[in-house]
Amino acid sequence: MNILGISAFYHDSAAALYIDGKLVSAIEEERFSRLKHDNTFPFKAINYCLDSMGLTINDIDVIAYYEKPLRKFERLLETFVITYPFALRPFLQTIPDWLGQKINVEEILRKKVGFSKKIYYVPHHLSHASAAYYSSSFENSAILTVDGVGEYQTTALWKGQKEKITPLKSIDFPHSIGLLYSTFTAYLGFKINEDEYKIMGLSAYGSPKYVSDIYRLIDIKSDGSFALNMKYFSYRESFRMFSDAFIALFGSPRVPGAKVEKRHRDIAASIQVVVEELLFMMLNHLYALTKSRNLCIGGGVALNALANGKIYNRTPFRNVHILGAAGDSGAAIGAALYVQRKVGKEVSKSQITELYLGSSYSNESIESLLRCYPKLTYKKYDNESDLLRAVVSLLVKGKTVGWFWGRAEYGPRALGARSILSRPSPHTMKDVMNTIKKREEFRPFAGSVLQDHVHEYFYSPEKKHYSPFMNVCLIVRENKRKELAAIVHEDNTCRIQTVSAKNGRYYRLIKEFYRQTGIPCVLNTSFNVMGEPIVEHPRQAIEDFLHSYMDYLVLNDFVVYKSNR
Amino acid sequence: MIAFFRRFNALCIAAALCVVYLVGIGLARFIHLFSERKNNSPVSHWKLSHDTQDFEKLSSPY
Repeated sequence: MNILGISAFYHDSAAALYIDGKLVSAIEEERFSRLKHDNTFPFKAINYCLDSMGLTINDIDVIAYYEKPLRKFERLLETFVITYPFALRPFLQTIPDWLGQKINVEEILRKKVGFSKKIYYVPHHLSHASAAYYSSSFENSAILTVDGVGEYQTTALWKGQKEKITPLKSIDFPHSIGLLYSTFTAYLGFKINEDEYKIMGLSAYGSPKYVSDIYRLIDIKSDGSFALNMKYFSYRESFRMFSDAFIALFGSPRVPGAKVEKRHRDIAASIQVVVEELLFMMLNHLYALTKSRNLCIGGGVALNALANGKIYNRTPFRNVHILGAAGDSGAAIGAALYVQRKVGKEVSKSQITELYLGSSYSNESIESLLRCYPKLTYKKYDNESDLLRAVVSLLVKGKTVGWFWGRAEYGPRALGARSILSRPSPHTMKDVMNTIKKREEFRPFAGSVLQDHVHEYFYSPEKKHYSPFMNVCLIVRENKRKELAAIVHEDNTCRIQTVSAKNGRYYRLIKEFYRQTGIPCVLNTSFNVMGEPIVEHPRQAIEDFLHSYMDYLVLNDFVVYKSNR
Repeated sequence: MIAFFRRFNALCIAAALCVVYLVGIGLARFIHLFSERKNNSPVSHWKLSHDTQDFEKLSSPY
C-alpha cells in the first residue's frame, strides 16, 4: 500500500511517502522553492516523492493530510468573534487566503494533484503524536505534543501502548507555549516561526533576571497546566504578537537588526528558563499519569534542544525519543503513520533511525555540472577511503569543507548529507564559520560525535547516548572543552548529533577524523547561508561555495577547489 | 484597464468582507457574550481528552 503524507499552509510544507509500511521518501517544499519554511502547498515535494520511486499519483492508495482544515478555520472564526471589533485588518487579510485555498485542500488534491482515491485528515496534534511515537523503538511511552497551535490544541498529553495512542489531556488556543516563545522571539526583533532557535542560543549569554516578570504573563498550576494572561498578547487580534501591556512590562521591543543589548540577552535567558520549568512540570505530570519511563515529544517546541538535554535530570524519564523533523514537516510523516495503522496491513512499529530521505544526484550529473564552472577544479576519487583521507587531511589543516553526499536530510537539521564541516577547535573556527554563514556571532555550532565516544566528551545520560537527530544539548566535560572549543557554547553546552554506522559515509568520515586526530567529533553546520534553506541541488552548493569563504567542496566522490585559491 | 478592474474587484471583496465582519461577526459576538461561560478550574487548566478517535471521521476535513 502506498500512502502519501502531506503538511501545508502553516509552515514547513512537506510530503512523505510510505510504500508497504516503509518510509521511502520525504522532503520539504522549501528545498525546491528556496523559500525558507515555505508554507505553500507542496506540489514540488509531492512530485519528488513520486518521481524518486517511479510512481505517479495514480499509484497512491491513500493521502493523509496532517490536520483538519475546517476545524482550524472554525477556530479562526471563533477567534474573530472573541476579539471583535479589534481584528478587522487580520480578518480582511486572512479570510480571502483561507477561502481561496487553505480550506479547499480536497479540491487542490483532486484537481491540481489529480488524486481520486481516499483522503484522510488526521488532527494536527495526533499527527505530531504519531510521528513521535510510531517512529520510536518503544512498545509503550508517554507522549507530549507541544507547538504554536494546531486546530485548537496547543499542548497535549498522550499515552502510547503497542499500536494505540490514547489522548489524555490537552490545552487549547490561545494558551500556547509555542506562541509564548514566539512572542518573545518577535519582541527581541527576530522572525517568528523561524528564529526561535536564535533566542535559545542567545539565552546562554544572559541572566534570567526577568523570570518573575514573565510569570506575570502566565498562570501555572502545579500539574504543569497553564493559561496565558491575554492582556499581554495580541496575536489573536493583530499581526503583532505582544500588546502594549507587554511593552509596559518589558520596555521597548528590539528593532530587527539593532544591536543586541544585555537586556535582550537577559530576557532571552529568562524566557528559556520559564519554558523549561513549564515543560518539566508538564512532563512530571505526564509521568504521573502514564508511569512509563519512555518519552516521545513532538511539535515545534520539541526542537528546543537546550530543554531536551535537561529532561533526564529534571524528570523521571530515562529514554527520550524526538524525531528530527519534530515540527510540521514531520507531521506529514505522522499523518501517514497513523493512517497506515488504520488502513494498511503493516501494523508493526516503524522505527525511524535515519532521515536521509531527500534528493540525491549521480556522479555523472555532478561532473557535467562541474564542467560548466571554469573557476573550479576538481578531482574524482574512485576509492572512498582515499576520498575520506583527503577530506580529513583538509579538516585537520583547519580548512572548511562543504559536504554534499547522498540523499538529503529531512527536517531542519543538517545531519551529514548537506553540511559544512570543520574541525571542532580552535575557538577561531567558530568565527570562520560565522563569516561563511553570515550569521550572528552569538549563535552556537553543533557537533557530530561518534556514538561510542559521546560519554567521554559530554555529560550524557548513558554511556552510548543516542541523539541521532541533533536535538539535544549536553554539557561538555571540563577536560574536553579545549578540544571542542569551537562548538562549546557560552553555557558549556553543545548541541550534538550522535553518529553511528547508520550514517554511512558521514560516519566513516568522522571515524577517519578520529583516526588522524584522536578527536571523535567534527563541527557540523547546515549547508546554507543565512536566510536560505539548506541546499538541495549541487548547483546551489557550488554557488554557495563560490560566493563564500568556504575552502573546499565535496560533491559525492568529487573534491572541488577554487582555481584561484 | 485590467489593472483597474482588478483593483476594483479587490475593493469590492474588501467591502463585502467588512460588512461580513461588522454585521456577521458582530452578531456572533453579541450571542457569544450571553453564552460565555468561565470554566476556569482553580487547580488545573488541563482539559480531559476523550478517546473518541473514530477513524471514519478522519475522512472529513472537519
